[in-house]
Amino acid sequence: MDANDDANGFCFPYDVLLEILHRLPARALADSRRVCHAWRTIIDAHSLLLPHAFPREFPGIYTIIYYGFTSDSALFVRPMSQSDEPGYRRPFSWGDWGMCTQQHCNGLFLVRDSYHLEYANEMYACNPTTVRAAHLPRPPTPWPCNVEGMFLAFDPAMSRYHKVFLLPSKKVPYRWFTEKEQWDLEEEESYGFASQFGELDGKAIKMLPLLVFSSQTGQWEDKKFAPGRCAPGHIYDVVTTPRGFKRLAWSAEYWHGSLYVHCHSGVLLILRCSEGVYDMVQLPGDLAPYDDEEDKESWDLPKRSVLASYERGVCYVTLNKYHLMVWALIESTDGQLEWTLAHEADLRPHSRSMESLKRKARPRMKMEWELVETDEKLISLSGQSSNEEIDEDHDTGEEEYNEGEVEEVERSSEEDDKNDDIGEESNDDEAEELGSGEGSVYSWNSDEHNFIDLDESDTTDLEGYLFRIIGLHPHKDVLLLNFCSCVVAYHLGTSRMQYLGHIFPKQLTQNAANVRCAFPYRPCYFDALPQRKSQPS
Amino acid sequence: MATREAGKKMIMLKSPDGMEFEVEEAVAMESQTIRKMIEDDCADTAILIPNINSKILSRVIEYCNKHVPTTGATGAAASDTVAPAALAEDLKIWDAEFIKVNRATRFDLIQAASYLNIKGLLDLTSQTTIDTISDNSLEEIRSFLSTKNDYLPEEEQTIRRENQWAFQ
Repeated sequence: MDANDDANGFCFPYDVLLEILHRLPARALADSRRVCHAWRTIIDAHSLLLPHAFPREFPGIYTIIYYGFTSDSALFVRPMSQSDEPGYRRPFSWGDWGMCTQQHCNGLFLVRDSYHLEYANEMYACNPTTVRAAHLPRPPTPWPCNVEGMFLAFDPAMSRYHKVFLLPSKKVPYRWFTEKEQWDLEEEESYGFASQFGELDGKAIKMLPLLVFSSQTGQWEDKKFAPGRCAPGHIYDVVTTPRGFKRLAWSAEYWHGSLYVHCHSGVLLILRCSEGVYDMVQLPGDLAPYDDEEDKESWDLPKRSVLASYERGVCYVTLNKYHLMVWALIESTDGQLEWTLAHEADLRPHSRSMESLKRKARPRMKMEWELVETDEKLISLSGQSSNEEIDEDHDTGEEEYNEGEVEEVERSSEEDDKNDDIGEESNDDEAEELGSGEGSVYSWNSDEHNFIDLDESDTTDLEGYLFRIIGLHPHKDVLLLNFCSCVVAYHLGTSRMQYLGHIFPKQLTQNAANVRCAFPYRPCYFDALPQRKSQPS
Repeated sequence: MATREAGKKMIMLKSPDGMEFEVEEAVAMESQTIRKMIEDDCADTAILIPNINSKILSRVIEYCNKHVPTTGATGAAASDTVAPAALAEDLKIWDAEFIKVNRATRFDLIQAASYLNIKGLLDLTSQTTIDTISDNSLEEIRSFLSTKNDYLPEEEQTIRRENQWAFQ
């Protein structure tokens, strides 16, 4: 065709081309961006891919391992082929840019520069998958130099832009409170912490003042959230009462346009971002066992956590020693919020099995997940064809996993037809999940491997290792837990536990090591962050 | 179904190459574009259809004739003689035959359907293109659409990586 460059790609009128592209299935649409520049421009300009942003791949668990003196991030992933195909390799490294991940939301991270002293406490929003980052301007109010009360909100299916919410907390900045044990109101005022929460006390409407940064405008804005249909005044008072000097381990989940903030004192605060209203609800269950967590430093994984999975909604998970409880948040049509106990279990038998497993040398199993540390090299996170091979090689003939203590390695006999009743029975729900999670068939091939057998008659004393919470599997009824140096998948439907692997680096440089932070990572290819050229400045 | 007994109104459509087509108003009104013209009383004499040659226009009219509600096409009292399901099946077969045209004609039909705003025809004609894009390699798509690859190899590689990652 003799089309000149401007007309290249336009064999139809613009509207017709747009119409055709709009009707393409996700994969074909993504590929269409490769046809020519014009097509990519149209697809991107009209955000045609956004509705296809979910469901997404779940390659593994993002972890920050603490080595006693420093910490480093790594990805804990399912086994992968050693493909050298460049297309299968993703950069997952910040190179010399030492970054401390503080928050994450749908593939986007809020990180603090921990490498350059001169930039210490500068915050960035970054996407490790696209290797893009944007500096987060300092909020117009003094803030405690960490992300306490700061939450990232990003949903690529709705917008490429992200927001950051800051719930101003009434306390002096971190570095200034060495000599102070009591509040000094004067000083508080002088640092700009005018009593934002208190000013409306006594009035009928208890507004919640927030600072909201939008990456679209690049500005921080004052926003006042109004009480929603479920905002009891006494909970408002609890949340807005000044706390002590210690850092608070708040966490948040952004789900379907609302930010679910796990506040102190066992309160869940829900910010309905588009409506500008907030709801509040007390967390269920007995909070007393977690008192020590209220002011904890973030050196350890939590014993209780508000979790959201994109497809399933919001829930609250607690681990009181061996007692696991999972509560689902029910939001009724009249705006009321309620918790229902969705799952409860005694994990002592699981603990015994795990302990006995640990007493052996490091267990060798099929399909063991492993830690891939970030360094200068690129690491391979996805390999379409190779995954299929793994699928075929390993997902057959696993019908006997109930019998050994743990599914053992060398069972490579081809017994395709022997998917007998045991296997089917206990995998029914997972099979369903796989079916419903489009595009996720290859994201976790180890569905039938490494199940841990429980011996209910075993009553030996426990050594005291405890499970800690990592997160919900993005599209399965599975809770990911940390047990000492191992990661397990706990299937809520069947109460069965699956060993995923050893989360510590193969070569420990220090004796002290701990998983400081871990969450299921789902990469995101959609963001509006600028391309990172070099180090931040 | 309402029937329109007597005096079916006829509309004259003109193609830019000078051909004139006399069609029933109901048939012409399959096109939302023409419907609007008629409703706005801009269709007193003949309607000139720009950019669509007589060959394509005659095919479009053929399509509209077939797809206009039966009572309009066959006159009165046909409403209870054909079962709707059989009719739909018949239409489907007819459509499949209709779309067996060469590529250039199909693209012209897409353009015409888009300009005249005939949803059914646009669905029918663009579906083949959608299928082609969905089922073929990049090179095949480009040659099918007479589009040049204006990417540098590195650029294309970058997008390819993104896709593999995002849409497995």
